[in-house]
Amino acid sequence: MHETPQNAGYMIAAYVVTAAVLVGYWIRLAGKIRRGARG
Amino acid sequence: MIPDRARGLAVARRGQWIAGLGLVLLAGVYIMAQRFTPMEVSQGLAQKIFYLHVPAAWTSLLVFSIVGITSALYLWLRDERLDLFAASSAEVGVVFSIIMLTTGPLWAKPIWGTWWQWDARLTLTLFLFFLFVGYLSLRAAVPDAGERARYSAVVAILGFLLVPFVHLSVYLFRTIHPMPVVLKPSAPSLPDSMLRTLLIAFVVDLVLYIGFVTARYGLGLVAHARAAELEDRTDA
Amino acid sequence: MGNGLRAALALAARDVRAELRSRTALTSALVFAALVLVVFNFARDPTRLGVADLAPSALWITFAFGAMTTLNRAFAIEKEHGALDLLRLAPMPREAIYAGKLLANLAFVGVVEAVALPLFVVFFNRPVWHVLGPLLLVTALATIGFVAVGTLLSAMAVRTRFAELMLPLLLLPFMLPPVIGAVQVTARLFADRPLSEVSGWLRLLAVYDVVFVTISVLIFPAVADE
Repeated sequence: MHETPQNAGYMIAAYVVTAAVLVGYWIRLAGKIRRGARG
Repeated sequence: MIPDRARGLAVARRGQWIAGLGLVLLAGVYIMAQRFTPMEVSQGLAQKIFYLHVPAAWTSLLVFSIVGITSALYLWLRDERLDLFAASSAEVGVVFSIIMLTTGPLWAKPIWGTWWQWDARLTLTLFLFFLFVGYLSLRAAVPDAGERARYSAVVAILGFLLVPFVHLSVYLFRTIHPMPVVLKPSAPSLPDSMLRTLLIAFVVDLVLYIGFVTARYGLGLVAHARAAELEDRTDA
Repeated sequence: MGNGLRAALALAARDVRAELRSRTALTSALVFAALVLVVFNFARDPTRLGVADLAPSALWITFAFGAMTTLNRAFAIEKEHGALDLLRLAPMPREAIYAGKLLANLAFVGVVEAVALPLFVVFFNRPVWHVLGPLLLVTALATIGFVAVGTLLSAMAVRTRFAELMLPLLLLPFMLPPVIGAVQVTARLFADRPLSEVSGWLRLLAVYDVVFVTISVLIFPAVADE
């Protein structure tokens, strides 16, 4: 029976990247909507 | 012309709300994946990347098919809305394929010992990204709206036909991807809690796709309205 | 159909004649192909990698990039002479315009390959006489596939901003399956394996050709129409 590998760092990186990409795109769209309402 | 822009903004805002809801639900998926799924013994915590990677890959492939099909419909019906929808989908497709392409190597490094492998499905996902980007670059490079719609539809249809060939030729080349554990003819070989989390994550990705694509579509309507306003002004 | 075919052949013949008169595009493409072969020879560690190991890759990268530069010129010439709009008005089926362009491009790319192959034999010390038949077969199968897509894409790329960049960006993904297949087959041929060993690859190349020639013919009117 081998030990369970310690690799939490990779998991955290993947979860952070996913959230950053989705939230980043959401903010980008929000910015465009605000500009669309103004100009 | 002002009401048109207002309508586009209303659509965009509705999409933004749906996508916001999707982000809240995504936080729920994070909690589910961390608290309510078992630790996989041989892979460790890195296995939990699977709950983000696989749904993003499914969504990318689905969105890619949607772009291909709406493009074919556009060439048939020549309805501008189909073109705008295909373009909006392609942009959101890039977002999901970026997630797929970053979470994949983050899983592969600890499990396979290497960031990247030239296996059939990995190469396929990379090509989905290339084709999405090619499609959007072409759109950005064609000034005339009618030409832009027709050209990009042609590229989307060609890309749709290309994908099986890429998969098959790289598969014949060699493949090491883990065999499908969910989508296969016999019963899925995953524990219930893992399968449930995976499917919920996929549904959340779909909510995010619907929200983003609606917002992007609304913004497209706004851009159309603005172009029409400019034309009116120059005519006057 | 007979009329369409005759129109296509006439169009292809016109392109070939025009190119024979000026020869600028073809000459540049040939020199370019020779340069790729030279660069390939030096882009390796000679103490670890023999020139023979790289031979199939070198041959196919040369063919692929030679074809790319040739295709970049295909519709650019029309545009320079302002002939593209005349072509649209011509009383011939759109499919025939595509077929004519495809035939002319196949002729140009064929010439580039026909010149690059002897150069390859010389530079890479790789005799091909004993496998010439099968090698020509796989070259034809792979070339038809990516030239069919390339002809369609170049008709669009020429009307975009940064056309020279747009064609490779769009076309390279479509070159992957033919080039993978062609390199696999070529490597087996150079290793003196029988053709039956690669029949799967040959079938894949043939299916690729049928699918993309058909869809390109069918979809070209959407590119050409106003």
